Amino acid sequence: MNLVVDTNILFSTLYDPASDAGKLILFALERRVNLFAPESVKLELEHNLLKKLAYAEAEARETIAALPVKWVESGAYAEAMDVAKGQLAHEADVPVLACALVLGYDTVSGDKHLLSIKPKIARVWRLEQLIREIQR
Amino acid sequence: MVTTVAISPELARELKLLKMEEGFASIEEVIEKMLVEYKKRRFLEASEKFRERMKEKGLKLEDLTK
Repeated sequence: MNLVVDTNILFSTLYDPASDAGKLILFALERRVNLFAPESVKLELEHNLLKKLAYAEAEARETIAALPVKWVESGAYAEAMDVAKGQLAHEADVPVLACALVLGYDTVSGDKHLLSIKPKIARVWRLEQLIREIQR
Repeated sequence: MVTTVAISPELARELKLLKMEEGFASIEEVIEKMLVEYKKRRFLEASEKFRERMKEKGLKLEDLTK
């Protein structure tokens, strides 16, 4: 199963590996799912680690490298940005949806904006719902 | 498709022994399992550091995600 994840999921997994977000990462480490995220998510993670948590650059790189996520360059989802913008008022979520649309993968998020996307546009899983589905 | 990796005879023996002891079907399976375990450990270490730093800074998860 291929899935696009957002920043909230990745911070949640780092915060609590025993949480549903943590379970998702463990599934990815065991190659039961493949996780993808747009470059913007990586930059947001990096920014927060460096600026809010005072990580050294090497520490931030190591932390991001420990996440089993394939990063998708912005050029790869640029063509879907306008469509995604038309669906979302919250700007930070736009690259996540654009990335999912281009790749043709479902998204997993706890974000209310992404979860409000109509199913005919893209499927967005709630984390707990997805974990149940994978464990079935 | 397969490829060849050069390792010492001693390491090859250890891998074969581990394969037999743990009941793996192949050396490749042994290495895959070790890689997964290594990556899990690396992730858990990153997580521990993250929590420590959040505590030091007095931040909550919401402070990073808003």
